[in-house]
Amino acid sequence: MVDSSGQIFTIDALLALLLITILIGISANTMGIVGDKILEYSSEQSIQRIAGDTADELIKTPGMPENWENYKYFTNIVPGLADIENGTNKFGNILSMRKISSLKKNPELIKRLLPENMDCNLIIYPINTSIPVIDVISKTPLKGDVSVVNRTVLYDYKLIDIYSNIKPDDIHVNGSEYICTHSYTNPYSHKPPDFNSRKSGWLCAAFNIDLEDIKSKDFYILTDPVMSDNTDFHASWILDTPNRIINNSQNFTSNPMLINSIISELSESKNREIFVLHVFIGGDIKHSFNTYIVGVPRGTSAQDVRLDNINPQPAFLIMKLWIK
Amino acid sequence: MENKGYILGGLSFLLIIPSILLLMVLVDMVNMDESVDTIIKSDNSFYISGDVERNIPIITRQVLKETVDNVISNGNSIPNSRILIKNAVEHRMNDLCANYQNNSGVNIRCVINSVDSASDPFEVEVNSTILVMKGNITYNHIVNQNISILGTDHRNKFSINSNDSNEISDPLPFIKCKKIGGMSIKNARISYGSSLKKYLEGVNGSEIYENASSPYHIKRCPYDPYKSHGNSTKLTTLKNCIDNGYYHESNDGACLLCRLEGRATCNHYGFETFIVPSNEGNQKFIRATCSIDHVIFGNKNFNDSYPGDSVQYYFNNNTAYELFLDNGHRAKYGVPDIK
Repeated sequence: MVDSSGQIFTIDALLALLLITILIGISANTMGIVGDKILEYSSEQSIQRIAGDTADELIKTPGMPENWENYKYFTNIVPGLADIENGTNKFGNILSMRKISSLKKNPELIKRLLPENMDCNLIIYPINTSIPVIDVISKTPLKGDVSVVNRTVLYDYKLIDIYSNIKPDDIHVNGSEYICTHSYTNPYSHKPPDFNSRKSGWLCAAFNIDLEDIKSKDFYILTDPVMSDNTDFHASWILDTPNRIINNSQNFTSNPMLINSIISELSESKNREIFVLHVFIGGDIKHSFNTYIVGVPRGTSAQDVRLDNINPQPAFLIMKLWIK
Repeated sequence: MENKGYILGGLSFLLIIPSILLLMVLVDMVNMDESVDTIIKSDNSFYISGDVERNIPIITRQVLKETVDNVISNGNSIPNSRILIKNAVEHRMNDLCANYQNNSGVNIRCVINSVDSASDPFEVEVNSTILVMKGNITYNHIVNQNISILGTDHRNKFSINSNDSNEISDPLPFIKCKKIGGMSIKNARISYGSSLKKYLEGVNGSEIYENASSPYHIKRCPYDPYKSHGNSTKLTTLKNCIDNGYYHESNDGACLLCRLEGRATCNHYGFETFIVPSNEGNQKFIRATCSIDHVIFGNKNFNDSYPGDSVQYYFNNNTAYELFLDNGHRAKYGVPDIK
């Protein structure tokens, strides 16, 4: 009896129990710390991953369906901002301003790309600081972990549609194939330029505009680079149709020129009208310029019809994501 | 002694528990490293898949151009263009994927499921599956791409820019007439010489197609709606369309892939162009085979060819330029009916 009870409560046994208790305590503490770290890391990774995936989904896909921004109701659509109009830039991080505007008007659509317990804001900062920042989804992050994704993208600043463009540089390299309607009536006075012998001439291109656009848009003719008023050579242009040939040309101006009246006057068709743009250009390819006919939603300020806005602008797309 | 032994045995067992716990912590740490590695591998695979996807349209266009050029040079149609082009694209994609595998260690495969006509006749639809495998990560997705057969700068479909060497030509005239002889290419137009007249031998008015011509490169007509071709009394738009060698969308005309097989008509939505008599001779006809390519090349027995009435679209230096259009094509292009 003495032996058996004495054996249980020996100092050795007490020391062993103490040691075990200390070891278990240290282990539990270590596991707690590591567990917290794992939880923290996986949570961070998860938010970061979701933020990255959402940003990529927005930038690299046009959404489902691809023209979702044209729909009146957004039932069952998935937003995406990639521009599909530029076929070759389908995956080139070029964003469509129409899609951006649609998402800005309907910010709740972003939730279709996010888990239920998450929220985000989305801002586009143009690298050219003279262009205003686009606050696509304006929300303030809650206190706590916020994951930030920064992507460099290109986007068209305004809702500018190019209906026709004439680029002498490309024609100089590849040659012009368009045979102009003016060449039937005055072949000698409407010859194309000869850049090798520096002879000025006419470059022409046919294009069409839907009647719906003619009614709802303002049309401008503009050049890139901007035409200087002080040059010796006066470049000029004519806008007509294959069937209504106009011979009187107009000089380019340094500012984009509103041409609604000309377009309306030439429009005879019921659904779509065909036009021909003729540009008289000097024979020096180094001083040549690109000419554009663009359409913007009616009422757009003339100041916004800028050359900068024709070409896609580089910008930072910054998305902040947090758990609600 | 035995009781003591039991107590120490139990304590030893208790001492093992923290060791097991520590081991579990270590296993967790290792797994965490693996999950980070998985994320990195997954991103890498995603970007390579994107690269491969971007190469499909470029390679398809190259294959299309080479196939068309090959048919033009030997005048032989190909029996099943869709399968042939699909296999050629897949072969080149395999080479590309092998390069990626060597450089990145990612096992990637691109299976071209089909090459077919698209809803836009100036495009070809390619359906493919991209499979990416790296370690235990597998990623696959199906891609559907519409590839333009127009000039390289097809972002603006009415752009006047064109890169001659990259434009795709119409193979059908060469399949039909090359072996008859006398064909040539002048100023981006096919000049048939006597070949078309011989091809149409036995058909009334075939003589009018001596030295006829048609466009060499496939270019979409900007004069849409097509009725505008006949808008003015002088038919200036029609003449300008002919001079520029434009092609028009057509329910009857064959698509590019069927043209490669030597067919002028097919069930797909295709395109058509004008084959214009030279107007050099003194012979004048009021009625001859309709000057639309799919009518002329309808079939060898001319069951599909039908006549059209003369349309004078230009008059210069006592020479009347004419072509022949049936009532259906007159209506399509807005050319007034003969009264």
